[in-house]
Amino acid sequence: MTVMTVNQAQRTGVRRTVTVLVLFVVVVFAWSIAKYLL
Amino acid sequence: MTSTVADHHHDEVPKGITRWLFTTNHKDIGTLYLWFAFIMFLVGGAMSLIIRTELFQPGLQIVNPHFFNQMTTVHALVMVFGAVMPGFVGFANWQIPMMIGAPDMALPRMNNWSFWLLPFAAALLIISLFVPGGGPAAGWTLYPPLTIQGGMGVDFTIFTVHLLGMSSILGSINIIATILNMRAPGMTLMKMPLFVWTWLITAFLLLAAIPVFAGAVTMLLTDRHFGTAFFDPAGGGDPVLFQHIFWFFGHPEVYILILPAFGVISQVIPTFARKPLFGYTSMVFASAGIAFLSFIVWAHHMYTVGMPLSGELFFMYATMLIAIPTGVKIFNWLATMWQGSMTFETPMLYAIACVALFTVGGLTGLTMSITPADFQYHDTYYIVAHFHYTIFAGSVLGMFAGTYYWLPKWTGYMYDERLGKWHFWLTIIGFNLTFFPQHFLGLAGMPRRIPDYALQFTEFNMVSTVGSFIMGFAQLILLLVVVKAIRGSGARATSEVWDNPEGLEWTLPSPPPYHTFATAPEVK
Amino acid sequence: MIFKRLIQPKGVGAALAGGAALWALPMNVQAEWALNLQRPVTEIGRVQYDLHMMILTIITIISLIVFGIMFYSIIRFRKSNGAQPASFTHSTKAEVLWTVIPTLILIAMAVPSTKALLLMEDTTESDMVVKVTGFQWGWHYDYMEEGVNFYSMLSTPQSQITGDEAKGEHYLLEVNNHLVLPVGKKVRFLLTAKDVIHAWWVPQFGGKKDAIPGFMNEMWVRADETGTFRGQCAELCGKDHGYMPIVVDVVSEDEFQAWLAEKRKQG
Repeated sequence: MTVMTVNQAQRTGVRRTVTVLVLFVVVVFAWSIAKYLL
Repeated sequence: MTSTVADHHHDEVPKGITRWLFTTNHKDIGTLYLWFAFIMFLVGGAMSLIIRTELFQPGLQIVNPHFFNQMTTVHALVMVFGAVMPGFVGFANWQIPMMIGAPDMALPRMNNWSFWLLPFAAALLIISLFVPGGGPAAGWTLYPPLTIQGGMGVDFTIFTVHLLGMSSILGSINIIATILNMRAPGMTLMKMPLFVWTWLITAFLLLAAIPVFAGAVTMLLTDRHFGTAFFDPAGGGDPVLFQHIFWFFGHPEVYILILPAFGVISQVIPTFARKPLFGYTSMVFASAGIAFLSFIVWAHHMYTVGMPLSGELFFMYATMLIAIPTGVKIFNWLATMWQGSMTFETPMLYAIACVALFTVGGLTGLTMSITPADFQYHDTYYIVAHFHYTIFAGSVLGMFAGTYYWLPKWTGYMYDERLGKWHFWLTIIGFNLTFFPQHFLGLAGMPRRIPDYALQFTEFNMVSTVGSFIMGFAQLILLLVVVKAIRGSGARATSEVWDNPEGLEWTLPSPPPYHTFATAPEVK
Repeated sequence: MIFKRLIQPKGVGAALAGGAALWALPMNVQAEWALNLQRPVTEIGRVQYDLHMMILTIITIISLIVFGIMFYSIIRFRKSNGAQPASFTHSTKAEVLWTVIPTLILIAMAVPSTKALLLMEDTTESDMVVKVTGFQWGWHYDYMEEGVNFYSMLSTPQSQITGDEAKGEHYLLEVNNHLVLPVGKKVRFLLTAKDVIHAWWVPQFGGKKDAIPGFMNEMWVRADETGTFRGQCAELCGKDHGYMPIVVDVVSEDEFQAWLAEKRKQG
């Protein structure tokens, strides 16, 4: 059980950061295979 | 407006096995990573002692060549992916929230999963040694076509890499999200401790590099079992393609291994010199510069592969360039020591040794960047010496420095300084005895990854083996130091522990409460 | 305390001088305790050797400076001596100096390195060609224009490896059929492999190149003196990677022609 105080601005910021980073990872992974398939 | 993810028992620390299985607490997860890393370090170390025992004399005495190749391969995989990387993630988990005044990591549940992937990954890798055909034996670099020939141990390794990669990627997302969003008000990026900066940069390197590694080993898997021919010339593929993809990951990987160590050193030296870090801004830019450059130098690991001249020249110049920001960092640490008022407790001993010995490794790296010269060093013990000076003396000594530095904070008790100094001197003497002669062996013509050698290499191999046993057994002293501190057999540690250190973690009690900075601290 | 004893000027000076002397000599190839590259017998080998020594000198000086500053600081700026900490955190002049000076040193190193690389990669106008094929675990040599080809594999007996018999002088560096080359001729090597990646390396020639299945690499060697030169496979290729050495006899042109004729007769 955790106690964490996170305000709304931080929540939004975290969500945005995670979205950007996950997209980045997916793109890099796909690129590294696709580039060498073409 | 705040919302509290609340719990009535917020002062109670959970107990029992379930505490460790289900924890979302950054301090607990940090502890899990650190113990996992230490165990892996001892396992990898045992493998290196098998290697060095076989190499004590020419001839085959204790293992057969195929098993020897498994040992060199798995030793490296365990050390890089099981000891150094998880070790630094352990430091990141413990330290980053406290250093930026945050209550925990941004994504605590994902944090738990990032850790628990690791024991399964490690188990897969160790089990691979016992399946028919044995473990991977193509070197940690896993080059095809040799890896295509390997038995199912290679497939186990590929799945290990997938799990490890996932853990690193999730961990990096967590670290970036934490650092960018959860700093206490008033802590601008340029006020963050350098350890946090180096981890921010390392996390970006991981995100860019690990997926490429995952892609490379997945292509190996499909070449092995699903009829593709990425790396098989008979099918129109190219073995060298793998090398390019692997090293595009592999070079940033070595900076992933070292940057957090640079961060630790940047915390330790100012504390024990009683003087602020010299050139904070240039340290940040130098770290970022090293990270950028690390993406454009990969082929210096492949100079002998038959590259066009223009490629060889480009990679030579780019590689030489990295010496500049690296040199800046070394000089900045020296300038921090200069006109300080130094004491030499164990963390400082390790930090100084780290800077000095990493410099040796960095300078041999400079010789290797010169393509024509590298043709004589490539695939010899000169390279083995180089990367042990950079990775062991750089990353591992950095971790030892950080361990002694923060252990009183984590446990609430001072570690045994006398034992710490014994650990230090035996490690340093053993390390140099083991690896300095390997420069000579490489220059004299001894290739790497061989279980047996021509007679003229005997003497230095003997010295190296003796050194490795000193160094190896010395690590048991560290185990003793850590266990004693956890059990509280030393003096109680104050909040500050050291002489007026900088950083938010030193404003907390030692050990800190289970939950810290539920309210953000004031940062001027 | 230990530091003080270690840095007595006389002792350090003597050690450095002795080390420097040893360091400067290329080594007898089968010497024990060899500290340096084997003595080169080709122009490329000499160029590499000189480049190596130049850079080694530079990095030795740099490390002496770094360690010197470090040890000086450790002795002079310690709290137990009553040193008071300064508070400076910046010095633009110092930062510029230690960025610009290394850059200049690097540029100075890059010039001869570039020249050496251009020399190494110029395989034109060769006098003869030999195709080298690596396989698990040995080498195949093909004098393509002469109609001579043969296998070359380790000839050290198993009993020496297991320790049942005393090891011979060229333990692990001897083969059944030597590669024979004429002295003073530019030999172009074509390298490939049958199964996995190998690498052909003779330290005294200064030549190393990967032998990759499905591809043809090239490299050139011009040996300036006669003699026997030994090398090893330099890319992990499986269990007997350490057991596929290379032995080259460099002989006079006449001896080379005689050897070729003999080989052709053997078929």
